[in-house]
Order: sequence, then structure tokens, then C-alpha cells
Amino acid sequence: MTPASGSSTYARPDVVAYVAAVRARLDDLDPTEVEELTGGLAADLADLAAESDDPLAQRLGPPTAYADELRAAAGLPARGRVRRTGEVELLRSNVEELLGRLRSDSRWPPVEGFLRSIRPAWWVLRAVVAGWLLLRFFGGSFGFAALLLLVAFVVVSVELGRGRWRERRGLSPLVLAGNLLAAVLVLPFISAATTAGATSSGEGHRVYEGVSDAQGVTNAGRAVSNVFAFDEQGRPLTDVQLFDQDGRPLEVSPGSPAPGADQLQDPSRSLQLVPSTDSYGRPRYNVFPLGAAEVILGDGASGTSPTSLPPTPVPPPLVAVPPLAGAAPTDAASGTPTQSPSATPTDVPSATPTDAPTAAPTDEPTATPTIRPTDEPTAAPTAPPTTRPSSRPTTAPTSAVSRPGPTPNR
Amino acid sequence: MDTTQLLKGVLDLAVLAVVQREDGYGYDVVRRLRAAGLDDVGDASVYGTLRRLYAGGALTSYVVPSEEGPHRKYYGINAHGRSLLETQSKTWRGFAETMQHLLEPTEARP
Repeated sequence: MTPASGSSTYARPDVVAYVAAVRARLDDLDPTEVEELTGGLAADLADLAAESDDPLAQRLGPPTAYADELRAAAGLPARGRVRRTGEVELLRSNVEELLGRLRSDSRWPPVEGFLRSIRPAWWVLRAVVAGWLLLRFFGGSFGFAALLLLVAFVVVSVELGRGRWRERRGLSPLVLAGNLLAAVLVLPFISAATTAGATSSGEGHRVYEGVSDAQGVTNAGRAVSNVFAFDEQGRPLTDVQLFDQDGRPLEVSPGSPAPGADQLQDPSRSLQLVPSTDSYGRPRYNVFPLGAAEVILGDGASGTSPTSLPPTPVPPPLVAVPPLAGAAPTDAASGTPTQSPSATPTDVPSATPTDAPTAAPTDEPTATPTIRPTDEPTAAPTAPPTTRPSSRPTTAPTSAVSRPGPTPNR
Repeated sequence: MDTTQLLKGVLDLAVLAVVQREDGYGYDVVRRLRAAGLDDVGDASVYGTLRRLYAGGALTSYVVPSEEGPHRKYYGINAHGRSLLETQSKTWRGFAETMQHLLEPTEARP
């Protein structure tokens, strides 16, 4: 045994071990009683140990005898343990033996002290795990009733941990089994809890965004509210119908604010992007660019519904874009649906007169659009292209002169 | 005769007397008892007696925090303890006198 030094008496391993052994001998008592009996014991034994180099057990006697004498002097009945089943008893003695060996190592007692301190946290955790398991099993929702159940579980677990119901026979192996089960399930519980948290926060994220993954178009993680198309000359296009690779309309989410919406002072009005409507009166969210309309918000109190003023075009964010390489300064034809890979400079577009941009001024719905692979800025389906004549300086189909040779035809 | 047996009977009284002089924690009381001449008193017995007297309402208890180590639990006497001490002192004195008389050499019978 090391002689008393100037170091703190708190962590003297022999004292800690002795006190622990005394407490263990008193474990059939109410824990508050044990605390009353042994509360100041560590400090007092530390003083005692500091006096002499003789081991504590030699001077005080074995801790079990000490505990018995302490108990008797305090007027408490002698140790009468509830007879436990054989297996639990065997396990308990094994654990005690292991603890004894651990305690002989001087590094163990601080660890044991720490573990004992966080024991109540384990009581709460095992109750939560048990409650979660039960809910998972019976498919309940995590509502108020579940919370009550959880509280009940925590109370039971803590009272068991404090040794309140120690007298009941047959409970001990059940508690042991429950402890093992909870210990095994801690990791699955944690993983389930963290994924649930992630999805719920993800849902919150989606709700916050409005334009969710399930709806609308995103570009590099940001929601797309409007699309501006430019031809190969770099001039802006209007009334462009867009579809994705599966032929689905490339629709943005409705109700996005238009540029300048935040400058509106009037809270009863909002500036929104509005779709154009087809000849059936349906809104078309895949016809770009969307126009902006001032919406006079309805008044729920007076029962008026929102009305919107006529839409105005939204100016593109880019005034012009550079023309594509090799594009002639003169106007090129509109979409050439079939483009051979070895386009020669004197390629005559197979655009038929019906493909001419002299199209009907209004948009027409396309039942089954088929997109021909083309790298033209306007992806025109077999239906007549819906480019307004006014948006193109010339409407005559002209050949695409001086087109570079290797234009990839996807 | 083993003083342990005797001591068991009067340990309450001894502990009360010590604590009445000055509040003390467990080990302090043990030391004072030993210093008074009761070498055979057992630590555990003293601790247990303190606990029992406290539970019986004869002692007060308070905790003094310590910087270096665990807090110390001090015991002090209260009114009930004082009256108990007085009663038991009287009982003891009476008993000791009786024993003393018993042990004096017998007077010659007239």
C-alpha cells in the first residue's frame, strides 16, 4: 500500500475499494440508508489510512465484517438476502469476482466511480430504448400517449435502479434480462433515432423550401422558377415548351415570386410568376419564360378571392448571350428535326414549310411530344414550333450556312 | 472481562457525551473516544451508533464540503440528545454506584 502522500485523499484506491466493498455488503438495504451509513466513510477512512501504512483491511477487519458491525450498531437487521435463482447468483458472483480483480488495479477505481455516477443515465436510456422498442413493435405513433408510456418506463427503470423493488422475488432475473436486451438495442435505437431526425429535418427543409424535390425543377440545388432560352444567335426566345428526357413537361413550381416582388410595398399585393395558358385554358408551367403578374391577394375576412392583373413579360436576366460558335450572323432556321452528323456547310434544312416559324401565334398543346435530338436552342417537337413571329427578325427558312462539320448529333 | 461487552451497553452514552462537547464527524468521534481511554471501540460501531442516534432524533447532522476530497458528515447534539444524555448519565451513575457497592469488600457481619 502506498504511504500517505500530499495528494488528494479522494482517489485513494484502497479506500475506494474498501468503501465499495462495504456498500456491496449493505446492498440489501435501501440505498438512502446505505448512503446515510457510508456517506462520510470515504473521507474518514482516508484519514485513517493516512495515519499508518498498514492496510485498511488489517486495521479495520474485512469490509464485510465492518459492514455487519456498522449495520448492527445502527440498529438495522442483519443481512438477509432474497434468495435469487441459481443462474443469477452465479452470474453475480462472477461479476463480483471480476470487480474484485479490477479493483486491485489502481487505475480502476476512478473509472468505477465515474460509471457509478452515470448509472442514473443508464436507467433513463434503457427505459427510452424499451419504450421505443414497444412502439416499433406495435406500430404506434409518437404522440402524447407514447410520451406518457415513456415517462412510465423511465419511472419504473429508475425505481428498479434505486433498488426500491428489490424484495420482490423473481424480479431479479427479469431485470437482468431487460438490462441485457436494452444494452443490445442501444445501437439500433441510436441509428433509428438519428435517421428519423434526419428525415424529419429533411421534411422540414422541404417544407421550408416550398419547391421540393418531388416537384419543380432544380438547378445545382437551387429551385428554378423561370427559364430563359436563347437561340444560336444569342437572341432571347419566348414561348418555349420544354420537356425532359422522358417526355414529361419540365414544369416549375407555381407561385414563385417574380423579380421585383420584394419592392412591392403593398402587402395586399404580390408579384408572382404566372404560367401561360393553352387553348384549353390550362396553365402551362413548362412554357418559358413565365410572365409576371401582380396578384391582388384575396381577403379571407371579406371573402374575396385573389385576382391577378394581366401578366407582363419578365425581362431575361441576360440581355444577350454570345452566339454559338460558327453560327452565321444571318438568321438561321428554327429547329431542324433531323440533322445528319456530317452536316456540310451547304446543308439544306429539311424543315418543311410547316416547320416554318410562321406558326400560329398561340401555343398549342402537344399530346405526345417527341423530342428529336438536336443541339438547337429550341427543341421543337413535331408540332409546329410556337415561336412568335415577332421574336424573330426573319421568318423565312434559310439554310444554315457555314455550319461546322462535326456537330454532334446526340 | 472483555470491555467490548460493557461498551456495547454504554456506547450511546459515550458517543453522546463526546458529541455534546463538540460537533464531530465519524472518525473524529472515534479518535476522541480512543483518546479518552476507550481503545477497544470499533469504528463501525461508532459510525452505526451515530447513525442510530441521528435516526432516533438525538443528533443533528450536516455536511461540510471539503476542497480536497469528499464532504464530511458532521453530527451535533440537539435538545432531545441533551435530555437523553442526562437521563442516561443518571442511569449510568446509579448503576455504577450499585456495582461499586457490590464490589466493595463485604462488611464484616456483625
